[in-house]
Amino acid sequence: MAQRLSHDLNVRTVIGEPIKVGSVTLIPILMLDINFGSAATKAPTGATAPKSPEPQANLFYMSGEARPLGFVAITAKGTRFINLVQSDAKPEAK
Amino acid sequence: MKLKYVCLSAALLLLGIPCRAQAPVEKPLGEYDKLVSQLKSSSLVGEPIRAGGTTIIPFASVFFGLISGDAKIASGGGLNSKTVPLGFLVVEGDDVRVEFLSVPEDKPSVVRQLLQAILDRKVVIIGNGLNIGHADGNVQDLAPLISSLAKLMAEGNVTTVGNALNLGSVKPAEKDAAPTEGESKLPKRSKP
Repeated sequence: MAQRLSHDLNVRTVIGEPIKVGSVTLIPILMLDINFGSAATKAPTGATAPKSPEPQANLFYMSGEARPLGFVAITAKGTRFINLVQSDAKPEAK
Repeated sequence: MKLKYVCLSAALLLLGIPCRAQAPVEKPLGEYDKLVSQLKSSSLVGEPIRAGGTTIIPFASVFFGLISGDAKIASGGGLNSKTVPLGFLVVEGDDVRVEFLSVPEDKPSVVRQLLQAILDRKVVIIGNGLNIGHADGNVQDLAPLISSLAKLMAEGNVTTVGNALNLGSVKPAEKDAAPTEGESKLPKRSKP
């Protein structure tokens, strides 16, 4: 599991492919949030226990969220970060 | 010697935890691999849409959940995913601006509300923990317990008590004497 996490969760996962629109280059910055867990009950032991060593019950859950946090916009005027994380206040009308 | 024993115990413990933990995860990890491999930036940021001199790039968020379980005689599972458009970038020449979409409010589901209430510790599920329905005694004996629960409810700490007040089988308080002479045995009827 640790190998999977180190393989999957690296900087390339959260920095997207650059998008070129005319003279503007946009690089998406993403957020990836993954939670998981598992549980298993132990097989009964003793004289009445079944011969199979398999556990009695297994449970696995996983949940997550992926969303863009913003874009790095590279234009002729310069480079700036466009924040997509909305605060509680509504964004000002333009 | 003591240190050696502690180290050996710790090593055995560390070896034992993954052995037990990996058993139920092996199968669903395949699902995890599939899911993560498909979660690329293209899942969240759409293809640019060109209209004249303007280009629009939509973006969205993705939520997902997976649960699976199996027992000796049954197995089950579920998968839930949701993609919510958040807004779009508008590129006009060298000018880039962002427009957000108003996210529709989720319908409040009973399960979600209950879960939130449990997390907020506003609901204490007692279930049959206090199975006082078959307890010996009468209602008067239970008065202190009921009043303490009522106090918790009034403070907002308990909003659901479940079956805790399973009073159906509790004997009512016995009346000491038979109806007095003036009282009728039949219930009184109100006059029209």
